[in-house]
Amino acid sequence: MTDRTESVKDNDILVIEGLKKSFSGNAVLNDVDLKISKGETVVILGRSGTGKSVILKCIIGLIRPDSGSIRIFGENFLELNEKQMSSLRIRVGFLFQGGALYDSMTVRENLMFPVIRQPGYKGADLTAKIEEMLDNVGLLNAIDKMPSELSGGMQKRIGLARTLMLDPEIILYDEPTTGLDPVTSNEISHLILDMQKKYGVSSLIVTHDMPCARLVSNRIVVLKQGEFTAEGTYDELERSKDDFVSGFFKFE
Amino acid sequence: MGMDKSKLLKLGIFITAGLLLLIAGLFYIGSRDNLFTKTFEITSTFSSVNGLNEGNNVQFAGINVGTVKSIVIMSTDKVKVIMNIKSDVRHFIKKDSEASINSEGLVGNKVLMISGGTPGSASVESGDTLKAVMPAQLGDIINNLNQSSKEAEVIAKEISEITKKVNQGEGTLGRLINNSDLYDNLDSLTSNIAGSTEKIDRILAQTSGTINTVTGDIQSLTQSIRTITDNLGEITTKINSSESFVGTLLTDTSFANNIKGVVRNTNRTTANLEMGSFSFYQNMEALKHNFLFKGYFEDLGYWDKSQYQQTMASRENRILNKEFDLEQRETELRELQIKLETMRNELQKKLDSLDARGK
Amino acid sequence: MNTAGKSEKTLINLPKSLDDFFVKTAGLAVFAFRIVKEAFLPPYEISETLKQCYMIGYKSLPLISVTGFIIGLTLTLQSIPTLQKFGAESLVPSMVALAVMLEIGPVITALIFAGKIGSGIGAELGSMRVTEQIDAMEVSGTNPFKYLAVTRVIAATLMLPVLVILADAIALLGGFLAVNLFGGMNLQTFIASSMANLGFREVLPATFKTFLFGFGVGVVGCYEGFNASRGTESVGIAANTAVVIASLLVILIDMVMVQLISILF
Repeated sequence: MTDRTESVKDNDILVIEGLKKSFSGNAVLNDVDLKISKGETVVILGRSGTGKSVILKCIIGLIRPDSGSIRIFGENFLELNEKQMSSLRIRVGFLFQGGALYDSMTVRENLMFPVIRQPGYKGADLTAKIEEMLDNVGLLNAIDKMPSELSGGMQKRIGLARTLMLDPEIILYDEPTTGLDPVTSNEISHLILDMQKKYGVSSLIVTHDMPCARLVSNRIVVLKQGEFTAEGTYDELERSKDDFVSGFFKFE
Repeated sequence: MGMDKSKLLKLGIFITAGLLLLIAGLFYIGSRDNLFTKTFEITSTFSSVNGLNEGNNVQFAGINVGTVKSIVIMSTDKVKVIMNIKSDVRHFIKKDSEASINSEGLVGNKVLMISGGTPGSASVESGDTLKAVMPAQLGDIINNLNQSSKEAEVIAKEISEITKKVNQGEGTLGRLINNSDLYDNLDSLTSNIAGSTEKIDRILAQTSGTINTVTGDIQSLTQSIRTITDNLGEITTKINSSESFVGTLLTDTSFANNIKGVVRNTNRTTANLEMGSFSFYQNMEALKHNFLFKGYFEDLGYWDKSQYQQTMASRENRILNKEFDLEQRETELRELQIKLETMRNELQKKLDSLDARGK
Repeated sequence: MNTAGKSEKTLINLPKSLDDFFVKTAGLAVFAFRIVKEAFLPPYEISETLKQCYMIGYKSLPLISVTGFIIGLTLTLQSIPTLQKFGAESLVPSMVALAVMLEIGPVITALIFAGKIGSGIGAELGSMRVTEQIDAMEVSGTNPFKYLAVTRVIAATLMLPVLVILADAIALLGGFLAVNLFGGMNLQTFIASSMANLGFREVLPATFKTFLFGFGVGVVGCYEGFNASRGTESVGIAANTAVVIASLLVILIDMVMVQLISILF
């Protein structure tokens, strides 16, 4: 344990060590270690239902792990009280699978919501920022629409814009391209890359969309039976001799 | 996310309407429960409150003037009732007013009723104790009913005695019997006997009144017949005794007409008597079939057919005697008339001859 | 191995075993307790609570009004011939008012409320749970429990009594109309006669229990919504279960309250 702690560097935004989680005696995460440095984009590959999303939800505190430690910006996330956890969470963005837009609010209100709910919000005009973020995702004209009027891909893009409203330092993407056509998937992938470049945010992306992974990743980790079995760049892993790992790359 | 003004307005109206209704309702009930009016307390001690509850109304002259505040058991046979009375009726309630517990209806709530008290006596003060009148128990009411039916029996007996007297009495039977009020009254009396005692009392009072009237009528009729008979006797004597009187009599034809009228009246009375005896028979029959009198008639042995026939026969005899009497008088009158007629004729002849001589 | 998954996929709305029943009861109790606790802790979501009052209270008014009116009308129409047999037509307003204010008004309104609002909350929060909106809220620094559940429960608790009062009034109006179909009776007489046997002893406990009805319906709706599992069909299950349990709870609370009131007063 000690040697692991020593290896934490200042530019490590997220450090996960020995993460374990099981549901009803069914182990999902056995021993997960992960480190993300500033500006880095890491993609987690893995088969459906193997707990990739669970890792993300543990990081953001939606699921409490059985054991292990999660350090975000150097703070031990699991030992924080609710208030501290809440203020730390704001620095972490989370893009949900379906965008998770609030049905009862317009796009504008959706984007406002995270900001005006912050304890420090003093009633500043958010229009400029909302328009900037919507412009980023190319949906400025949807500003007064309801989520139900938008397509799945548009909802995800608005979701990304909403995530960006709080200027996060790291964004966790939960299958950002799942359920979308290849063209839209490609658009989303490029958007992730653009945001990364524009705002310099780190990213942790759970996906099994290989074109997306190739486009955005600096590094890829492969989750198998609750552990990361392989790690490397896209090109490195593409050449892997491991059948499980290379299986992800045989999509063409 | 926030609420726009029109929605806030609607919500505001919605909530206000509900609250206003609630407040209105509370005040409505409250005003009846005297929560918002000035009240004072008086007490009364009963041996039993017959299911009176806290919160029941207190009535004065049938008006709700307050509520029962609390009921406290003082000892085994003393229950203290504390009531809240509206201050503005205080001066109507006197120190000698009495409190009693009654029911609002057959199945209704209990109410505490305060009687008026003596006019002019002092008004109650807060904290006074009113004299309690024990509530009427159901048992008492039944006792009352029993008492009433006993009284009814006595009265029925009296009626029967009167009937008997009438039956045995002289003369003017018809008048009594033709008066259907008695029978009607008796009939309604019997059908109402199961009803309220008050009603029974009233009808009985009416019935005895009717009987008194009838008895009075009988007496006066008897009197008048007696007078006529006396008059006839007097006239006959006068005619027979005084020659000089005959002259006057003969010149005055109205007297003769009077005599004729008396004779006609006598005839009619006789006819009435016949009619009367028939309807009396009918009424007696109806009476005997009435459950109320049946027992009495049976006790008396009236229900025995032969005895009844005997009675009827003897009564008929008496009526026939009476008729015979009257017929005799009629005959006498007729004879008298004929005599008078002949006397007049003779007198006329004498007058004629005197006239002829004078010429 | 996959026992948890099995129970999630069931389409049966009522707890299928005694175990489930106890688990659900405990879950509901804990949830209700947490609602009460959080309702008193800042921050207070006043604006959202007002919005929910509008959605839950005002928007239910037409439905509740129509129901109340018809109930008052039919109850009166059916009472008149029966009471006429006893020659007690004059007791009709009093009887209708008593029945409406003490039992029928609160319970029918609460049952309709359970149907409309219980299922509404269950479905809304269920779909928010399924589409991860609740998670999204939590990660963006808003306590969804406070923002979604507490506001709705408060709104339901405060609005149902208002709805019941209005429904009672409208039901009496229906009763008044029904009485006038048979014979004339002016409004003043009707009001005086209908209020004749009503005191605080009757009206206040009957009003008090409507707060509990509202609270029960709100808690059950939120609980079912928050505990919806993944998948679209679970939204329907959440809505359906919410109605069933909420309606049952209304009847149970009513039974307990009637007993409690008769003991306490």
